[in-house]
Amino acid sequence: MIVDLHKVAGGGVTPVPSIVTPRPVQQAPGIHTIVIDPGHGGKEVGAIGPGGLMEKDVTLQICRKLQDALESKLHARVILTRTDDSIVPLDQRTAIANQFKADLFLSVHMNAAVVKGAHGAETYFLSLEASDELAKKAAEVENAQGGPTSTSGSDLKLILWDLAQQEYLNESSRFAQDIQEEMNRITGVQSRGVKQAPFRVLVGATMPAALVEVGFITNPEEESKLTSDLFQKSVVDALTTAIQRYKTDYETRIGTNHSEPVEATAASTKHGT
Amino acid sequence: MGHSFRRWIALGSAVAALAACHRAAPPLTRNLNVENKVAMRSVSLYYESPDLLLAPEPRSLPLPENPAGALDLVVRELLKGSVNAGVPRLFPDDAVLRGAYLLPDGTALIDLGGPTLSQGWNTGSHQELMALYSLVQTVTANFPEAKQVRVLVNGEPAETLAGHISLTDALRPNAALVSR
Repeated sequence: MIVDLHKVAGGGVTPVPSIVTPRPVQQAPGIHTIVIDPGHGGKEVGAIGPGGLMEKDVTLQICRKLQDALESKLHARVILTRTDDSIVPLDQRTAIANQFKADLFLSVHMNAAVVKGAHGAETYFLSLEASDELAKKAAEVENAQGGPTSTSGSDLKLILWDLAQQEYLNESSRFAQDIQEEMNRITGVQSRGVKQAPFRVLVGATMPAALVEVGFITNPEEESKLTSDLFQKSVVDALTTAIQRYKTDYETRIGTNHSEPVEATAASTKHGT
Repeated sequence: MGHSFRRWIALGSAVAALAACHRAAPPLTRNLNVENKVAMRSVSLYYESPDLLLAPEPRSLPLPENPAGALDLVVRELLKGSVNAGVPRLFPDDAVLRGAYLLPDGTALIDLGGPTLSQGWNTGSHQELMALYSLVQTVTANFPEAKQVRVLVNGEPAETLAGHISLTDALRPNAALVSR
């Protein structure tokens, strides 16, 4: 493995994991490469719990375990957008996914609220408005290059981009639904549902992408659970099952999967205390 | 003779015009509220309710008739927080409004500042969503001319406030975040 150093905005350098061996050329379409994004990092600590637990630390812990589980159970190529306490710019996270031609992108976060008692898990995918704006910008750039030919060319590109984004959004919605359903099965975790919002980290992803808020770090009870190995394992198991379900469903729909559908995790999955 | 007569007419007109300019100006109105048509007006400020959605809080404020002038005052009032002690502030305590502008295309440009927002706000996506959309909802609900809100930080475009919600483009109202 060779580690590439890429310059990032602001002049800093963040090591980007790079695998020299290319993806097998003959691989059938499907979910083979997954990028997992531990939210925040470095001086961007994310939300902080009443006991001092930092979001950036929990996301990295969970994502490392998730990487191991996905590699073991799905035999997928799994890449983390950060492997230590580094700052990774938001755009670079999806750039990593795009660079590695990932088939799936999942960003993991912990939530925060000022309202007392807020608790539960929720999953987001990108709002259409955000992807529409991206499409318009692409068209503006094309038009700015001038000439009637480029205008009609950019209109076509806009339509194609729109179609592609709509397809990614449809798949992202399905993926987010699977994530949330599996998170709902963890005992003691309240469902806050699947929602859409203009999350920066999801903009520009050229694959199905979702962001999961595992729980509210600002809730003392949930903060305590998040430090527990047992609870973290139940979260990792839920996310692994969700990704496995989505993979099987997707590959069945495109005709490249011939295995049995994945059963959802049992409702008796316990959380750690 | 005709030429001299025309010259005298022109001179007389010029003098008359100068005299009109120097006519006494009307006295300044002492009450600027009358000039700006400031009156107590009812607005709805949006804060987070116990069900984790935005809910309106009615308020009466002295506001000018001109929406461009009123926008600044309404946003400042929103940032002060709810009058109800049990309703928490959504934005950081040190957040300030640097300026609020209503653009002809229906975009309300809201320029925020303050130490926390300048240095990086450490919070989760829910609080960031609630804060931003309390602003979007308050502005669009009270100003029909405003269709969307673009947030800047210290006069510059910013990626996000706290690492989650994109500020690259204007935000439009999201009914899913508002209590019914």
